[in-house]
Amino acid sequence: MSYNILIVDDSKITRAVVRKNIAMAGLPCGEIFEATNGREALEVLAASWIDIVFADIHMPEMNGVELVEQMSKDNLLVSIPVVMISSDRSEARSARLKELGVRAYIKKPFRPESFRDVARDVLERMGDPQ
Amino acid sequence: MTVLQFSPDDLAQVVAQTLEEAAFVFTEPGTPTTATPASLLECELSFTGPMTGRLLLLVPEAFDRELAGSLLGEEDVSTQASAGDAVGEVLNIIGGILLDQWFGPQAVCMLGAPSVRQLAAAEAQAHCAAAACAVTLVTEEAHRVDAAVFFDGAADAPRRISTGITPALRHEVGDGQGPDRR
Repeated sequence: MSYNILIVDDSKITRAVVRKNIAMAGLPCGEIFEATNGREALEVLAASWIDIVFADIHMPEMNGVELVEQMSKDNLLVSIPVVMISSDRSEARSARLKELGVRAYIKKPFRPESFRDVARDVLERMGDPQ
Repeated sequence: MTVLQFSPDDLAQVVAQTLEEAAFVFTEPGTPTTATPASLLECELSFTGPMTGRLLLLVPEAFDRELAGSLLGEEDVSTQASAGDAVGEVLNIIGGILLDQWFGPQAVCMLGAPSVRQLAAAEAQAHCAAAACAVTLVTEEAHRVDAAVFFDGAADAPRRISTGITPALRHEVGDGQGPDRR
């Protein structure tokens, strides 16, 4: 099975880094979509089938927390696993994201091995009820 | 009143560690007289939280390109990164670490979007001169990297920063003796 992936980050180079790490991790990819903020991400989610979302927190217009909040209110989007990738180290924000159902949190800077392990773990558990 | 105990050494350590871990770029302390090209990229990142302010990172354009290559593990990154992307991403990481160190993991802070512009080295370094804290590092390829921290609201309740001036990072301008070295 291949997965459609959405990468959400206002940094072009970070989206490229995540894309590269996805390839290095050997994740079975279908199509990879990109968005520069939460609002764009919601547009992509409305138009395309997405299996997993990798999202930053600090983004203009709509940040990562707001994106996850919006996804949690939508019956179709709430079940899509979200992995946060961020420089943010706030435990309060991390706890809030966990409440909203975020599956994992990767802190920047990250090693490819860490990304691979987290991503594979999330995909393997996709069939598990929360 | 929020009081920070923060020194140029602390800032230098965070910048150096981030460059090393994110991009395998190794640095050592520089000085205000470390050579720099005529124009630089200045990246600015605002932050909010218990205190507000901004961070600056100044790098030569050539280093920004090398940084992009290091982040992506490729030589030709022209289609994957625009000018300033790499330095902006590195400053974003630095910002996250600094906010955590200053205010702790329970504080709710936000980082803005990095903004990058090209300007003359003299103008860029004059900006750093007004900073609450500023450091200069030098990469193995002899690229100069300047980082600076500014806090808002100096006229409000006093916020004391223990600068802990380190001789290896600063020297008095005009003392005729050049930079101290450890």
